[in-house]
Amino acid sequence: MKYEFSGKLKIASIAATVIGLVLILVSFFIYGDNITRVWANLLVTSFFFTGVAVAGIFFVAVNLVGEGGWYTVFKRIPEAMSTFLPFGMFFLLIVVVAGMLGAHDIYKWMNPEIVAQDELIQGKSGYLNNTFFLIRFAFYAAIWIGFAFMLRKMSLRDDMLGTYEHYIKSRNRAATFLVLFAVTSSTSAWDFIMSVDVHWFSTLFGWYTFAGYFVSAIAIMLVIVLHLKRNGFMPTVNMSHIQDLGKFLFAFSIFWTYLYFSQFLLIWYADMPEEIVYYIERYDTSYRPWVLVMVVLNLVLPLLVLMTRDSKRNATTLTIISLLVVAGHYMDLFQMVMPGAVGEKWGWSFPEIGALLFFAGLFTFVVLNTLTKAAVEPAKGTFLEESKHHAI
Amino acid sequence: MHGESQYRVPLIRGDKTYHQITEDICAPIEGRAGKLWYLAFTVSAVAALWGVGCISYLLGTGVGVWGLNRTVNWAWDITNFVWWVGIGHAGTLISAVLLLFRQRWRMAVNRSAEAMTIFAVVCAGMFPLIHMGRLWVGYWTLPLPNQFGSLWVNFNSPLLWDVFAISTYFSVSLGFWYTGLIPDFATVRDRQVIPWMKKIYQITSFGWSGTAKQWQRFEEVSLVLAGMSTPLVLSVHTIVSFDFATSVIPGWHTTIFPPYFVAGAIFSGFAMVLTLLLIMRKVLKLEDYITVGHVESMNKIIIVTGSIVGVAYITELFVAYYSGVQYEQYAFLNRATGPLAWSYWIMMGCNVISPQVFWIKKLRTNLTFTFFMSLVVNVGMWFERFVIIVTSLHRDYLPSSWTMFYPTWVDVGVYVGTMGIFFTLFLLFSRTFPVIAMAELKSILKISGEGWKKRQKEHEHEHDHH
Repeated sequence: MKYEFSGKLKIASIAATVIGLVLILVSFFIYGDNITRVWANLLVTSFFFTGVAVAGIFFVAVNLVGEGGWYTVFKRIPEAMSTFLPFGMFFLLIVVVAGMLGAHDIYKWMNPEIVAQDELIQGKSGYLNNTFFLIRFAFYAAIWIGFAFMLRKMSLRDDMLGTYEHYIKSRNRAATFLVLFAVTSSTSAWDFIMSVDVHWFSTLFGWYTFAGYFVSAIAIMLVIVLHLKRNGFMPTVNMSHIQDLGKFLFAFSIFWTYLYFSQFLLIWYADMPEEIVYYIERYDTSYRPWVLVMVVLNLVLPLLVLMTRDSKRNATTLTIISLLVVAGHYMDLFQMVMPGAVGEKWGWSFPEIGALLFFAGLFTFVVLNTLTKAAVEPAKGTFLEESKHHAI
Repeated sequence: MHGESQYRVPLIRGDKTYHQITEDICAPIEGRAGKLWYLAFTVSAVAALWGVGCISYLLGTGVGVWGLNRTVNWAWDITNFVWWVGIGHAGTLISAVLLLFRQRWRMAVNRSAEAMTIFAVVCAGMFPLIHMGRLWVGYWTLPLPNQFGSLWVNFNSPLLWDVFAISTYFSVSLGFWYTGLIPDFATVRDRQVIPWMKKIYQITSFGWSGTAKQWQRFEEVSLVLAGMSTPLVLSVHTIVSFDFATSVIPGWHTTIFPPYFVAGAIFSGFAMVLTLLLIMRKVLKLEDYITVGHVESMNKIIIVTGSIVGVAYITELFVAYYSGVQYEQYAFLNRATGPLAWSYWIMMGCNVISPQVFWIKKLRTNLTFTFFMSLVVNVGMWFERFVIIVTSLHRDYLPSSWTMFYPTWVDVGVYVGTMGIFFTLFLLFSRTFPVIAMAELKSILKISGEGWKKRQKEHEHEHDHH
């Protein structure tokens, strides 16, 4: 059965995209004196949804390599999420190129005048320079987009073949992706996000960033699965699948907190000037309430609500918590970028709402549109029977 | 879930019955030990005694008998401590995390991995105690009122968090392990013919009679303990990493330490599980239960965790460059090219490069090669801690105090001694405990047993024809 992208939802996603785009364009005029704020919002949202999309392939690849069977009946959803990659990376590229052309100063190291007076940045210029940055960008795009489409294509072919040999072939490709992603997940986080606070550094940063978009991807996957199930497109997805996805949301929310807190605690404890400045900019400024709300959404809420079995089997509870967790991780990325990009000159207005609406609308449209292209439920597969009878 | 894909390799070889499983697993307890066991036991016990001697000498004389000096004031003691704690991570990972991920292959290895965990933590815990010099006031590490003669502990210190983390880990692991043992002890008791041994197993099985109510409570307790163990897998080595990372010493203070230490701990834990199980399955004739499939799964975990550790090493190197902090940069330059560079390259070779050969299926299913690799990883992980600890200390901020570290015979003796204690305990375990969780294993016989899978396939074929 193919998914039918219903009129209401389709119109809503297109409307969000258009309104978002208008708001962004309007913001460019309104915030002419703080244009960086508009661009920084585009960075936050485009990186966020690119991360969610790449986490979609990551989820599929890990299950392929780990011989996971349970996810088979809903594998089309993470696969569809990964098809947003070209869009996300396109806008990410625009933000980067605009920075190189001097349209904004999110990345201080792109500005030759600043670099000329800054010894610390000069020391990093072997890594942080326009050419090498674009080469790395091309590398990420080639690997992520390439594997996203390759793995999806192989998975669709599995509907006709369903052989063990085909599974082994897909598994080997997935393993190759995981090796490359092990490196690019960290380096991309340094490139796009950590280099905003160009003086600051943290070895954990890559894994922490990854954990954030991985949790968001689980939450979004859950919302889409629940939506499709409610509308009768996924009869073989049962409550055990849903509960297991809820467990993932619970567990990885704690995992994200573990990384966030590890980074914070070690820097706070050692209190070295070159490191602690990062948290001073976030806790001793107007960002403090934002950060505290973010931690409540990303830890306290999923921890308390998803603890019980019943809540992980209740579609309404799961949908609300998932959306709140997604909001929490957007807020996390926001506080990772904004203090370094615009300092205290941040706000919550047209640029923020515009960027969020635009990307949320576009993501919804692209992903749900991909789901109409092929049968939502696989016809064949090595572990399909296991997945259909998944019961915990 | 019932019925698994025919593509999955059977986890129990041959066409076993429930009774056959009981017979096979109880055999080592009921039979007599072979010569090899006595030989191994003698060697281990002698090493353990030698260790006790060295510790007595250390306590009688003082830590000056170690190779420590004013610059390198932490070396083999803490290296061994971290090494043993790390090894103790596989048991909980197998019993809690792999349980959550429904990895059925864990059922053949969890019992002995948990036993290994407990023995490893015992060995680890000795080091902080003997380093304090006065064993009889070891309880001063706990927050006790000053009237006890102790001083109120420093809650800001990660060393105190270690006391909490490791004692919690030890008690929960022990509780989890013992809970699982109760029904199996009852099975051993029911089969035992020697009266005094029957009496012992009667006591240890807590009068288990296998009623439905008991099984229900057993399941509930297991679930609660598994839930408690899961965060412990992460917390223990995280806090061990804090011992270093909260400091301001270049090479120690880095934020990636917590997850990277956890990955390294699981890496070394699985290597030790492989070292022990590859011998055990042969000696106790458990080849049908601990199969090549099990070994392959563990080798896959070795590749994953080894690669995570590798990514962390590279990240540290890169960020040392990227940070622009000259002390940080020198710490890594010194590791790779300084007087202790040989230890750095042993670490890199054993932990990052060599496990990559497991990408080749032929090698990760070769038992002799796996055994060799498990030793390589154990060596590599010992050197990792040595590199982190000693190379960061021996050339500190003040070049006038730069020095080298050389271990003394007491350093070596205490280390060898803990290995003796570890193997002695494990050898005793292997003769008196059911080394595989019988009751748990029986629950997967009809899903993953070779004979049952074959019948299921035939049944499916018949089904297709009609």
